[in-house]
Amino acid sequence: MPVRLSRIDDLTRSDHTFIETGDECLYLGEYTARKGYQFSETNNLIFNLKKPMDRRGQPGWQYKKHAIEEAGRQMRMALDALNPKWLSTATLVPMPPSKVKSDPMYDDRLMQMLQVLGTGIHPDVREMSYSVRASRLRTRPRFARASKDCLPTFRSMKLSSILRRTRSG
Amino acid sequence: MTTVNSMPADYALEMPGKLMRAVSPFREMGAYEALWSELRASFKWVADKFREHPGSVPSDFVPDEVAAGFARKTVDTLAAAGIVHFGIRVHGAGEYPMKLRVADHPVELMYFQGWWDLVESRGVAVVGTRQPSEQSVARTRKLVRSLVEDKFTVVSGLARGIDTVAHLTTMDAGGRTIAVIGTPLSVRYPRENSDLQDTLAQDFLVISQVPVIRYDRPNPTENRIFFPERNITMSALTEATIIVEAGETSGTLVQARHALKQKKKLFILENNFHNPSLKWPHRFEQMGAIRVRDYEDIQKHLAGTPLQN
Repeated sequence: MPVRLSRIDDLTRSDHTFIETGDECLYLGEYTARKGYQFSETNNLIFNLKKPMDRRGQPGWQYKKHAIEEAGRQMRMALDALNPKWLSTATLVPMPPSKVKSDPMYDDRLMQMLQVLGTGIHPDVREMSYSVRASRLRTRPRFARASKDCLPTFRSMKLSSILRRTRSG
Repeated sequence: MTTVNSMPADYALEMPGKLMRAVSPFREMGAYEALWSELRASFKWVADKFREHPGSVPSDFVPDEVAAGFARKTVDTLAAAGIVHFGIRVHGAGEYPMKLRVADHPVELMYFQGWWDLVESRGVAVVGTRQPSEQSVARTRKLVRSLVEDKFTVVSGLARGIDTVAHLTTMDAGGRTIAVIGTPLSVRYPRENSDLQDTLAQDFLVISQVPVIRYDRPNPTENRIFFPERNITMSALTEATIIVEAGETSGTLVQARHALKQKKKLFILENNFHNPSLKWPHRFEQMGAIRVRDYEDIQKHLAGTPLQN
């Protein structure tokens, strides 16, 4: 049985500083900060998924690949359970990595995850935004920023192309 | 004042194909409360519904508008009790503790206040009578200090007596504790533990599977069913149950029975075996419970490196 996606709603929105009424936000698991990878299945998955690129070739690097596959597989199952037709009409836009492509630490794990997720369907996956300069974005709340504040850091494709795709889907 | 619509009697589960909606905590909470508003509702009745429809969540059985009404009423009731920050866990969504599924009628939804991450730590339940002897109070304190030293989370039920001593000693020793209560979050029970409940909710973790609206019904004797069920959940959440002192008809023995049924370790302190009026210690020992003469008897059965805490 796949894990269902959870929705941030009236009961949980106040836990999230930058999510407003009307925002649609779904998630699979909750990462518990400062507890290490052994703490829970979700923590283990996230730790391996975010393993930095300078660990390539070191012991344990293979867990990053497993985590990418597992995250893609779980997300696919959850999305198919929600609506098996949705992926074939959707446009998927990964959050851009914080590093520019020329940076040795540039990590395209989300793109890889989306490739796994789209196996057999080949959904429309687009890197709509990409970093044009090194970002100081952090995931901890005190560093978190609203999406509109991030705009200067990222260059986005024109929205019209998404809309066309949605209509034709 | 929120008006809550009762659930249409003829409402039947309609699962469109195998589609599964995303879990919306507000809606699921309302749907759980609506299910419990049925006159015939019991933990078995609720669990049977989910057994018949694997993979379902409460909102699969309740119309959205009914669930929304119950959810609003639940939020209002909790707010009136001074509870604004709380969370829920739903079977089928992320972070639901799968260890609960060993229970006879595993809960599909639970409420919590405080630090949910304690659920993932190694927990041991310390339970016993509401009217302990002085010696049992001293034994509880000694036992709990040893458990805290070994980095176990001490789980108990917030009742008078042994439970209260277990929670207070854990906090005093700088450990972590979880209260699995037999009332909804909106009720502080027993009254003398009201401050303790608030402290646990603020600094540790309080868990309740008890529906908020159903509990408010005029006939309070109905609510007795929730206490033994919370003991079954407490056993499922923990690696082991330790009984410090209990009478022949104590509710603690529900937890003892289910701990063994759930293949959890059950420890009984030696003093219980020396009370000639008690038969249960010998009975449970024959069924697989472990007799505890000193803490090492517990320690060697709970060997293994505790998870990172």
